[in-house]
Amino acid sequence: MASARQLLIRNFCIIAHIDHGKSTLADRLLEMTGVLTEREMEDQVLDNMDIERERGITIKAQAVRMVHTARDGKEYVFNLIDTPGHVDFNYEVSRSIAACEGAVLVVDASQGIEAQTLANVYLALEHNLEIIPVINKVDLPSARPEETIREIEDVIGLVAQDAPRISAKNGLNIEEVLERIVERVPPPEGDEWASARALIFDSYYDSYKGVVCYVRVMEGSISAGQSIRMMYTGKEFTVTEIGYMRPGSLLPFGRLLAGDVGYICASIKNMRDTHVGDTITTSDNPAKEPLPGYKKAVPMVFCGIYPADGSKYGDLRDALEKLQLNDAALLFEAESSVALGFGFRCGFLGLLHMEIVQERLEREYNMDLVTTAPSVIYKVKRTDGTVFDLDNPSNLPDIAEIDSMEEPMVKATIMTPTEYVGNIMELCQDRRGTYISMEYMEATRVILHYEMPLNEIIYDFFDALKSRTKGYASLDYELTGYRASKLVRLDIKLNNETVDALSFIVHADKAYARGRRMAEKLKDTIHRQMFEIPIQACIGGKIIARETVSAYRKDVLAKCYGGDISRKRKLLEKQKEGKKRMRQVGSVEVPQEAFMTVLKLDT
Amino acid sequence: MEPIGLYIHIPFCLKKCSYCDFASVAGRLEILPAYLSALEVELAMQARRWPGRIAETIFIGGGTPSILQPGDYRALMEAVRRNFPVGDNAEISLESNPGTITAEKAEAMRSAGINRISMGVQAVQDPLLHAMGRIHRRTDTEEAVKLFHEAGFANLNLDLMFGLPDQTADMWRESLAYAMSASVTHLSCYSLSIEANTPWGIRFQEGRLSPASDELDRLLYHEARRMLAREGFVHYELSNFAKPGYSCRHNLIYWNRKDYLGIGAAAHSLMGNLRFANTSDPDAYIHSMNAGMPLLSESALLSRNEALSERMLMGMRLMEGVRLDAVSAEFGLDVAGRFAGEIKSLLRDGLVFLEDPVLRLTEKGYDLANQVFMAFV
Repeated sequence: MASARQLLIRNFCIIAHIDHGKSTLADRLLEMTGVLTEREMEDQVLDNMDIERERGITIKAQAVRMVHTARDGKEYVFNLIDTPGHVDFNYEVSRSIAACEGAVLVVDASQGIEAQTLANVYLALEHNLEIIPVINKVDLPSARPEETIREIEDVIGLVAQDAPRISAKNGLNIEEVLERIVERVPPPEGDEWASARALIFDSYYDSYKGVVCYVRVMEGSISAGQSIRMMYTGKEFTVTEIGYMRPGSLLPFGRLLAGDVGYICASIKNMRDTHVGDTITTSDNPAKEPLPGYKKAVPMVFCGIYPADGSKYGDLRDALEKLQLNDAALLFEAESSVALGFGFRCGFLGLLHMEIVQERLEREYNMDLVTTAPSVIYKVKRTDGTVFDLDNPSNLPDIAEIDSMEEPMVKATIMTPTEYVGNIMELCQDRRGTYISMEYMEATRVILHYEMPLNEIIYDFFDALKSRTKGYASLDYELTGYRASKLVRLDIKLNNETVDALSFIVHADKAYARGRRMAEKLKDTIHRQMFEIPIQACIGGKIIARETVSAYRKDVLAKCYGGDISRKRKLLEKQKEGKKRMRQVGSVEVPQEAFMTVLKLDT
Repeated sequence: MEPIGLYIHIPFCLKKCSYCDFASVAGRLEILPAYLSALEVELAMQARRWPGRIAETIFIGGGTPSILQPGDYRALMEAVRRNFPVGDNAEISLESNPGTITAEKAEAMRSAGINRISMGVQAVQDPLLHAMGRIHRRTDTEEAVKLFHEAGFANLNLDLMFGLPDQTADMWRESLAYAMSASVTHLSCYSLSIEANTPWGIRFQEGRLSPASDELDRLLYHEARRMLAREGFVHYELSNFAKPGYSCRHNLIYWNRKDYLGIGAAAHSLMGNLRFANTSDPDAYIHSMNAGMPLLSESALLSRNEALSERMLMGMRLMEGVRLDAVSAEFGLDVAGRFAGEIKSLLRDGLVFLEDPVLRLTEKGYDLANQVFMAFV
């Protein structure tokens, strides 16, 4: 039973696909509840990072407390917990959801439900959240709210006839959403006098306060000055500050009780001491069991990241260390490559996570990077019976030493308008997918289920999927396990020298086609030089494809008179600058983008 | 005081050619009189700024300077002489285009003191000329050459182009053969360069224009070198060939990085290490000269490093190469030492010869000269 205090609390999240209006709705809720004046509102308050704002997605969960006076005259505390909107951050989503009693499901009236939305809705249903469907963008000419409602009812099995039809952008019917939250989201429960158990659903590093943990207190209470214990890591700290989250700021409050959402600071210096999903209890009266559902984040995708300028290796390490302060899922360790010099092998939750880290390194830390093609973790069994995890293709032993290899498999869920089913099946087949099933969501939309090797998804599957469906299909995937597979390493030789950073692991049946394509693509990427450059694709020393970049024949400014000098000098300076940005591999100058060629074999 | 080269720009053409990105406008002939007065204003202004500098060469370029009226040449040359001392043996060149020449005009040029003609012939095949957007045909070229000879011009250059779309090796040989038959003293052979924002540049980007492959382009270039050598021409700059004693003295000023003063819209100057250029808009140029205040599109004092870069990359265009000891003396540093690494790798790649103290391009270097220039920027 909820206490009188808890009866006036509503903890909820918003589930929406990218661009369906989650952040805009959050803004409107904040405006309506008067937490901020209009002048203070920076558009889309919840997404803090530049990249989040540009891509319209949430990477880190955020949370905010607001106060709403409902039609019944009572003042309710609303805790909105924002959820990351991407499959790479599935675990973070599940922790955010575990901190809530309800979820507002925002669906774009012209787009309908998308694969990732559905995945998060199922997650919310698993956690017994009350789901409040909301139809957004009803003011657009392309809106088809009735069909969208029918889709929600058919696919999810929710009653949606009375779903508020809103325009978050124009502030239409937002009040209705607030009232619906009061009526339908159950208040939190949990004994305020029990031993404390608080769920960490997010954290970030603040250079003054140390790690700031976002928590939902499930039972008991935690106060400033108390000694706390992280139940999985076993580390103990003293609470220096505790309170509520306001948009863009923290509001110290002294104590958090069961049902509350807030933050805790305890002079924690290392993000690795505060895992998302861990349970905080008090040291003097510790809980017996931690909260369920804890998982350690496991990187699935790896790639090499190198500074374009070798002398910036130290800067890159500093930047990665700083990023890791705020991103516990990022792994990195030093490695070196013959072609690229000193760099790092980095592990990510998925492709998007990888892209985000690369972008943040480039933008926030001004790093000029060369990245190698992504790889997954293969399990390699040697002939002597030992098994090891392989995250860098260069480390694959000689074929003679390999007994067998296994690769990670995923269950892929693809949602698409029916007209593209043929294209998608062809693509999945080509990527070694095994068809599982197909369900109709409505007459014109289906869900396809495939089992696929993760290795086939990380290269250019997203791009290929988009280009084959005019961008209409959406994808979600989850790791299902490992499967034995006939895998080989494809090596590339430039001017008869193997370039380690270009090697990748591929299924034996695909090796010829990929090798040929890779050689062709590299021929287009590597410019003519002073001598002829043979490009060879090889498996275990056997050449399977060859292309040749012929030698430079002409590079000369025909005319240079009095009026041309300064312009031509600048042109030459630019040409020289471009030359400097090339990687010297043996005697060959290789442009940086060549190292990502394997991602573009489909086009 | 060091002499100078004087350049005078006439940025007017009857029609813009398909490949041209030079500072010139088509039509607008109605503003020519105002433009010529503005040139006189600038000549006077620059003469005050640079008193006593003798013009050893004068080059009237364009655009199409041969669209001026016969009387204009004398007026322009008188304005020059009023303001600048002109050397007794000055080379005075004028650019002209076939299709704009009459007997009266050729004689007027000659009597104005012009002693060298440079004519934009480009090719002798009418279909190629048509495709290039030229206003002239082969008969116009033949007529103009005849008129210039009759007017007493003994020093005649023709510009030819190779690597043109649809130009065969035979056509190129035909153009060269024509030039030989026209008894010229100088030939410029330019490889087509496709520039953005020209009609050809746009068609090229759209994939609707195919210039010669690099392989064919080089075949044609070396063919010209061989053929002209047999005819007694000296290959003295990457794109230029001359009978002994007829190298273009004005252009040598650029390549040897001596002082030159540009008069007119878009004209560039280098005086000491001061580099500046007038606005390329003829209307703006006229306006600014009438107001007595030059409008510059560029003005900079070059650093020693920039100047040295320019000295090397311009000098290396000459087949005789660069005397490193002379450049060292000029800049007060050891050039061979400073560029030791660069020169070593150029030698390794077979792009240059080092015959101490001379550094010069190899034949391979002729084709890949940018790689050599780049070493010095």
